[in-house]
Amino acid sequence: MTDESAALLREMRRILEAPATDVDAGLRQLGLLYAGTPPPYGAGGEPTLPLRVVEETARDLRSPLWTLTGVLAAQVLLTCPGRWLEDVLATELRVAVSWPGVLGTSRVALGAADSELLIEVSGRDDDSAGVSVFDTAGLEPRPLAALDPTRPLTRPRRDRPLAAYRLDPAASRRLHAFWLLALACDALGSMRACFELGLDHVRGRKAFGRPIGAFQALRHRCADLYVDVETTRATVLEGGRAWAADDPGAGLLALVAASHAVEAGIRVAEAVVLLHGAMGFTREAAPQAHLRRAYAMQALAPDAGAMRRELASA
Amino acid sequence: MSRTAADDAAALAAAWLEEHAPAHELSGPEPFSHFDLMSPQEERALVDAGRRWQAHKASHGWAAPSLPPALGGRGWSRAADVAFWDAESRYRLPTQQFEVTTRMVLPTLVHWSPEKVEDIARLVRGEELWCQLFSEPDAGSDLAAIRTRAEPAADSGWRVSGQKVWTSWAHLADRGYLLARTGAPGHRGLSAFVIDMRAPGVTVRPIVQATGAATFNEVFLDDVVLPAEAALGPPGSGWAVAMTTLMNERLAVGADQIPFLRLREEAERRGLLGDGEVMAALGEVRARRIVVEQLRQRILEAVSRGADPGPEGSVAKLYLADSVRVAARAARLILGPELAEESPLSRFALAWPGIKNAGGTDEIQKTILADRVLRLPREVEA
Repeated sequence: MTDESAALLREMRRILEAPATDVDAGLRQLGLLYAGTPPPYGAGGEPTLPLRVVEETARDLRSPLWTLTGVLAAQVLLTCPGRWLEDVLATELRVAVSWPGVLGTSRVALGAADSELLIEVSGRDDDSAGVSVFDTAGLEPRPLAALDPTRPLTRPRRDRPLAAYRLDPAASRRLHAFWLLALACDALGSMRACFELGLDHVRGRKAFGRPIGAFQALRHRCADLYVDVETTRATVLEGGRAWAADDPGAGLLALVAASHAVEAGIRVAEAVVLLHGAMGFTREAAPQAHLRRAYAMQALAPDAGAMRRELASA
Repeated sequence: MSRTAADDAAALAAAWLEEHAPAHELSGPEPFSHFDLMSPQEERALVDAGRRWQAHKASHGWAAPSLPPALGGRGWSRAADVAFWDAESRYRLPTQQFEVTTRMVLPTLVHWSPEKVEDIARLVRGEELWCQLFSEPDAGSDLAAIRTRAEPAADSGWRVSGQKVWTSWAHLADRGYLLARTGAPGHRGLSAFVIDMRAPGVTVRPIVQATGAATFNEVFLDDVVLPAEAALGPPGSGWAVAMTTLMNERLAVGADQIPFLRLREEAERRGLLGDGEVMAALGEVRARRIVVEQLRQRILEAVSRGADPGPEGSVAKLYLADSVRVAARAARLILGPELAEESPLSRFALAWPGIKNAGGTDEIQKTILADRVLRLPREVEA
């Protein structure tokens, strides 16, 4: 990562952690709200910056969802012919996104019910891939109860698209790899935050007169979780590198990252809930929020078995 | 060495191998595991082929690129060695029995006894195959508890007695790298030595593994006489010498123990490429193989920056060992009812526990991570 990206991410973390800041305005000013787009809408910078933004925002349960949907939407809009990118980004709309079979389903998009725009991708690789953009008429106004309240969902109605266009196979493959990598980065960020909660707990919580982190059963469980976090980190770093270089193997590495990260995220969240004992099962403790997120994101992500079958035959 | 320099080393290695490796490649069906059944003749032939390949590399400066040119290297960084191994692993070359020798013993010798120029040169040229005599019947994970004793001999040198176990390739080795007790109990009472495996008093007895293969051994040391110059590092420094070796062992974690392509061929032969369950299992094997390569890449970059592979290597070891288990599960799925019949693939399905123990058990690796990376409170006796 360049020094410039690292400085941007530090500044972003400061904004996310500061109480009572206007996160939206702060991130927009940094160019990270639609990270991955060139100035004046985004910060530009190295190609993998948007992936790092996704990871960084996922570390925080309070991050607004549109930091994730904005990054996903930005990559779609970059494929857009004409002035769409400018028109959408200049109006600073909140977007819901969906790509059935990649993230979301034909009945559920990721984004708040009051999103001002729905960007939906459909199909893959072949000639059928395309993008449709809808305004509020394309979304059910009624809110949808989400398992993870930090990740609101909405139902596409698909009325009167503002625009629809085809994606050429190369652009669709590149976009597909990006979305999978973003999904893996999102899982990585959540996983890191959740693992840190677990480590803090076993270091601080005492039983039998000593920190519970001195018991081998828990120490080894933490080591297992560390392996999950570090293996996921390796997959997103190498996958991101390949994607940034437009390497022909990037699609394969994105499948590796996503299939690995989604399941590792669940293992970490489940284990950290249990490391917290009965407290982990209370609404007030943070681990259950990570578990909700891990389950909800797995439900929206492609099936791991399907990704693996694709990997085996590729 | 920067990533670019390591990449350059990899590119140069690949170019050299393209020209030189094919003549040394092994023929016949590729085994699923380096530790499968072999007849004594096959084993000998493999060692001889390994010696020839090692000598050929040495004569072209590729035996260990990190060594100085005078010793058959190129004076490059350690990362260049690893880059070469990775390039080499793309061919089917007779390196398996020389891995302990060239990847663990060699860097230890170079670090602790650079004056042993002749020993190093013979090793590099493939003239001597080494084994590593660490574990004992009562000291495996608890290495500091070893009891094999080396006592100063009356005139000069040492007399060694004790028993070693799990020593890979000891039955084929010319020389051994031995850890023995020269002082009080604990880490500080240990010293390292070089031992001639054909010296009087050395008895090697192969151990037949669960799969039927016998790649490791018991080694009995009965009043073996060592000359004074057999010491490797100063007396009492055995633990530090051993740590140099074990750190280098972490670099030896490779994806070639996860035979994705061979397993897919076996599935194809049985008409299973349309079977969803088999394909999902194979996809996981492939993903894990790629992740092991990625972890290696990160270790390599750390080494390029001059950092120790260190405890982070434990992540790679744990993940590799678990991935071999997952590959074995895929083998069982591919075999179906055929699993009940003895075959190379059914032996592969049976062999996965080996890697969970070799080079430090899962439990030891997890304790290293908990202590040295996560810095959790120290473990207490229950």
